[in-house]
Amino acid sequence: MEILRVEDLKKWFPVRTGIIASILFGERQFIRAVDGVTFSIDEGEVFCLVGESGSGKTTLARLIAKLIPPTSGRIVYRGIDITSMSNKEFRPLRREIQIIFQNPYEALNPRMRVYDALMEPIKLHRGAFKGVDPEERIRRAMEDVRLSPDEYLWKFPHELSGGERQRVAIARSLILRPRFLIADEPVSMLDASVRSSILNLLVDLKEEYNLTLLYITHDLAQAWYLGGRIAVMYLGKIMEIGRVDDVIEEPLHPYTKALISNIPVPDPRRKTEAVEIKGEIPSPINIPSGCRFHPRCPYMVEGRCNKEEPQYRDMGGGRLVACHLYG
Amino acid sequence: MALLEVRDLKVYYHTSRGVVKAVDGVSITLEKGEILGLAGESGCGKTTTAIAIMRVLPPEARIEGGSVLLNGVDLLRLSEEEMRRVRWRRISMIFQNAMNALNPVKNVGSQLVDAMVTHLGISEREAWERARKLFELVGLDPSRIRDYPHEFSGGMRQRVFIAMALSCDPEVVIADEPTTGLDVVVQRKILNLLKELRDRLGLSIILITHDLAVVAETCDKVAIMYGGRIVEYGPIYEIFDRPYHPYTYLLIKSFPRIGARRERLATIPGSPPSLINPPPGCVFHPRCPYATEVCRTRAPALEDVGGGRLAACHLSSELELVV
Repeated sequence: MEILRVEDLKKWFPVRTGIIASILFGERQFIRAVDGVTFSIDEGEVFCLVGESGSGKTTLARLIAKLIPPTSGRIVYRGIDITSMSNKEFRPLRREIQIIFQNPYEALNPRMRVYDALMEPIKLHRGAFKGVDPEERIRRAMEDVRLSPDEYLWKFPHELSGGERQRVAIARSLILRPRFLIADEPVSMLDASVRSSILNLLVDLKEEYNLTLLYITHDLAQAWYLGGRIAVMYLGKIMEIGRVDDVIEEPLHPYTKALISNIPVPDPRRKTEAVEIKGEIPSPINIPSGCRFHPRCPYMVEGRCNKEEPQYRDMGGGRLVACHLYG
Repeated sequence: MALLEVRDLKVYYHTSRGVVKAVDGVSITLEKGEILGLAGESGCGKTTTAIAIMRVLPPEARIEGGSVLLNGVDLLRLSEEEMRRVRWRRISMIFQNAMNALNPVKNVGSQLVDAMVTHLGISEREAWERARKLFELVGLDPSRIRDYPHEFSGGMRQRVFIAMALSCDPEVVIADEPTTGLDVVVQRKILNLLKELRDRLGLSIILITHDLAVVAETCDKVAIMYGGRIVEYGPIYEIFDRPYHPYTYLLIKSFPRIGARRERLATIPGSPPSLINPPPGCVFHPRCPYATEVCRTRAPALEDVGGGRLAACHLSSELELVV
């Protein structure tokens, strides 16, 4: 069953320009961070958004968590249009949709002990905790993230390692028993050995609580490990969607092909032949005409790819691809 | 004789909180025309090792012992004046936070030219000629030589730094996390460039990274660092197949491998050791699932385990760590 649907979602940030520039160039410029994204996620699914820096994946996460308002488009959560809900209207759903961020060092108030950091959401959502012993819920959340409550509840953030902080941040989101968890690059600042323990923890918690997980990463290997479905973003748009195994085994979009073939693999015996693409991701202020990938694409067809924006083709098996190569 | 040989190097930081033993007995060997990976997690001492080799340590750091032999000459015994003739011309470095290494208000070409005029004592005209050739060598368009640093994208800027590092024809280049922050497509191009330079110029490279995938992709040999020491050293194929040190093994198994069997990732319990009060015995023993009594009391030496490999583990001959 569908839990979340996003329809033609856009977020354009105005570029600050001086008065003289605005007179000279007339029109205002925009950073088109998210530029028409459509997809849906089923309850209990793992859905990974993969893209390079500048692809708009973090903005998309923040839109879905309703931390920032969209420029246009719709966000539908469990059949309810939450796009233009006020904070007050959204409050009961806020509990269900939680987000954890990349930087565990910024996620916690440095002056708050772990106990108080976990008590905060309980205070904010008092109504939801009727008949629940907050103390017990806090201890349970700590056990969920495999931190001993007796040892950790009275510590301050500076007494915790990066991995432990990220665990506390996860505990704080779990305390509200969310249905939908958004994880925005939750391990990219952690060392490899700690990274794997957080990834394993997320996999376990997803199972234990039947969470729906929207996982955002630049690292295809993490997306592959989590399984589920994957959407590949480029310059504010999704280029390809499908089951992660299908996409990695047989990428269809030239950008996905390049991305997958260029990933270094921690195995010297597996040398991959990299698909070459030109240049680097352009600025989201000047998005190329037609297919936004055309200036870098080795299969670019003059007159088509640089003129016409490709529509999504349904390739079967839940696979969608936005590329003129496929008709 | 190896081109570069670091023997039992010790570098301590004298801080208000105590003496931080950042590098505590590091030995590595770099042969001519080889790419050696120096790999480990944050705080393991890899960058300190590099800047000690270059002798560009901050004032609170002191070299407490060991030697750095370049063609048999101990760089640690040279005067500052003599060392200045070694830096850039014999060994150069590409720094991690490289943006600071360029002057933002001066075009890239003049910065290259200045470096060459100063270090090589050649004329400006000759230096501009060389600068253009360097641009070509690293895959940059020579027509952009008078552009300013901000006019280059992340990947191209990295090429500028590589050109900079090569400007005085060094034998050894140390590259500290040269692709961190770049996306995978650009990362691959930069790593390929390093391999190409090794092949074309016979350059010898120390590649510092936290990413074992980068090591597997680029290096001939690897030295794995943990808690200020080298725990394992050798050719990459053998190490990735069958590591001798449990830390190497767990680290390899903690990376997801696309396309392999989806098995649960290995984790390493606990946190990295305090370098002010390192644990007695083997620095890794508090986190090692295989640790025995001897590991808790006696520090293992980095020993020859055959096949050009070294490992610092009491149990290296007993454990069967097959990846």
